[in-house]
Amino acid sequence: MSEETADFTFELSERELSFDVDEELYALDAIYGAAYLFVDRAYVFLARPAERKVRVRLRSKEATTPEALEALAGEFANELLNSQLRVRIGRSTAALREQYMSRAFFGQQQSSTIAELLAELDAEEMAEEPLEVPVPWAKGSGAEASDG
Amino acid sequence: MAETLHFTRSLYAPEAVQEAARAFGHLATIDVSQGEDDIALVATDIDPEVAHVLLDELANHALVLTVQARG
Amino acid sequence: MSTTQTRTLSVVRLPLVEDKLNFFRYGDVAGKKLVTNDTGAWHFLDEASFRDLLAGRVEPGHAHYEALAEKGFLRSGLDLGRFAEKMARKKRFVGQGPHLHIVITTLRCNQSCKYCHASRTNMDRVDTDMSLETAKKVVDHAMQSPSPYINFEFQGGEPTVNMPVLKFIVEYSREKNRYENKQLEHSLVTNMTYMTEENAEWLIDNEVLVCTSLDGPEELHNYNRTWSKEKNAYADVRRWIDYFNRRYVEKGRDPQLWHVDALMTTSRKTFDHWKQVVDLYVELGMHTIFLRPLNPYGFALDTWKRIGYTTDEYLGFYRQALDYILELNRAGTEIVEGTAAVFLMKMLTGDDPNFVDIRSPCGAGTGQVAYNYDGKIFTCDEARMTAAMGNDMFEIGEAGVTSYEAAYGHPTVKAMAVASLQDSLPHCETCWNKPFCGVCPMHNYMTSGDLFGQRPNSPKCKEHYTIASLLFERLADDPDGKLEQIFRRWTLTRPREQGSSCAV
Repeated sequence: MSEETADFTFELSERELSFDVDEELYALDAIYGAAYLFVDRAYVFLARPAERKVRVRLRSKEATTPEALEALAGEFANELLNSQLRVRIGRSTAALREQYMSRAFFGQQQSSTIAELLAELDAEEMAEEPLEVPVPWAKGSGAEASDG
Repeated sequence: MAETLHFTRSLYAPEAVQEAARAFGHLATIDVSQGEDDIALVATDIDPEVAHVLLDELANHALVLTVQARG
Repeated sequence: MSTTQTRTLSVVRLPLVEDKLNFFRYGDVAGKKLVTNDTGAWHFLDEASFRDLLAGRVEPGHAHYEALAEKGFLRSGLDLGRFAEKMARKKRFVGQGPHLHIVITTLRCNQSCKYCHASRTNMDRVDTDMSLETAKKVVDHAMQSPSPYINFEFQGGEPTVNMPVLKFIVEYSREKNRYENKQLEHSLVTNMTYMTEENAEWLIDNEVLVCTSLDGPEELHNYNRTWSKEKNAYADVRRWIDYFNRRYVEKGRDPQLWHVDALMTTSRKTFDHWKQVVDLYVELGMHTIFLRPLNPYGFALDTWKRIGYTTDEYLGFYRQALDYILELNRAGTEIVEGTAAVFLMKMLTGDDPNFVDIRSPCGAGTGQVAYNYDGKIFTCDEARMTAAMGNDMFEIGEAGVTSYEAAYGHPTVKAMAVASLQDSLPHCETCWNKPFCGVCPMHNYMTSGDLFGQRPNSPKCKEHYTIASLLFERLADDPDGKLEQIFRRWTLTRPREQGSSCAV
């Protein structure tokens, strides 16, 4: 599997820069995740110029230079890629996490191997029963063991 | 003088925008109107000391609260 | 009029093979990629190996395969049961109930420290002493906690000013514990300037752990801790530390367990004396020095200007002092930095120190509570101090009035848990430091007015992130493994359960 490059086109003016980010390529959660990290340095504003597009505007809080703004754009682009990667890792491992979390906090005894787990998950999806993980501090929230 | 900011509903949680408007309410008179696609904030009587950053700061706060609400 | 320019930059998008991995977090530390997971396992990878991991190329034969598989980063060979057990051990404190019960026996204090915002009163204010009746209600309430370990920690004011209540709580809780069979401890945080031989002997005989405040050498300690012009706070602390330690030895107690611990608070003046502070702790045979920063709230602006500092200034001091402490350890002196030890325990062992300020969720109301002199119950001692400043938002009940269930099911306790559960906090949820870190909603509230705070603007986030980074950077540059040996020893230097403010 080869690595791809992603091009980010941005507009630069005196104190701000803006990107259009395509939701077909980046999850909204990834865009939020990257934007959140910049609220200490920049005023961040999101807008929707078109369907499935998010315009991210970063306005520097301090007086800045074009070079510093470009560096900020580079940082944001990197954070967006990292954020997207994290979202994908999170989503693709969500079922595993639910399993080990429920075992860790509620001691549910279920099958141990990945193959058995995936088979179980498939069966559950077919039965259209979404997994529910009780929040750890809630009393009496689904602590019953289920011997799957 | 009035300043206006439009928050896209599909990007900002309406409660987050309301809460941000409330949080900055001591620095300006802020009217919030809910449209179909966006939420418009109109700020008047802005404290002159913060007038240059008020809406920017409010927008950051609304973004943070939106992200937080997604948990 | 400003002009707008259009630019394009290219970045590399890393491919991900989703079905080969277990959940993990990652970040750039020490020029490498640090990956961590929910059991607190971690591993350093160079850039190429990190790309291998994402692309599913870490397979048998790969240089990192065995380590990553063993630590649970790969689906291949993943034992979910074992992984869950490790995680459960790390989170054993969840659902146990409060173990740290801070009791304010009085607000009266004979000192007036520059950084104190502990709502002290002058010595004539006997109305701010806890009564025996209230003390009984406090013990009755505290002993209902399901936690198998209970620590009553006496604070103030100066808690020894109200010795009858302190003695009563020790004796009455021991009596009650004959039926409860919990691991019961008592600890005292005292400035030592009100100590008498009679009280000292009682504390020794009754096995009350003693912790004092020692900010450093005489000039620094006496500058921070204003007392009367005729008296020398430093001399008193030194005298009583010597007294207690001597008497423990004379009574045949194990010095690993029985010695006076001390806490220092970093003020701006500490920066000029940091080396002497560490040397003094070594000279006194202290096992631990806890380089605690000031909480940046509750100060008048002019006071903060004199004694306060920025987070960056504090972290500069911390780095210098940590490296000096490590240098001493390499030369054979055993002294531990407390905050580092909390992080290291999470990084290097399968356990968690249950340190209420650095855990997820934080201990407010679920790991600790504070009882004011009048029996009012707060989620933590900082919450009690906040109430003294006129904000009772964090009061969750009153001993003898509020049931245990009502206090710990209080909406404020739930709010504090939600606001500090890092799995659901922006940035924390994806941060490599998440398994080792902790959020303090009280600190967020006092610095930003919001329990949740904003990670990029949080001084506490910067502090924890930097301290964990410093430790990992040193572990990454440890070719002979000697530093790791020292760090591992630090995680073992905890003869006492980590419940109290002093115990590390």
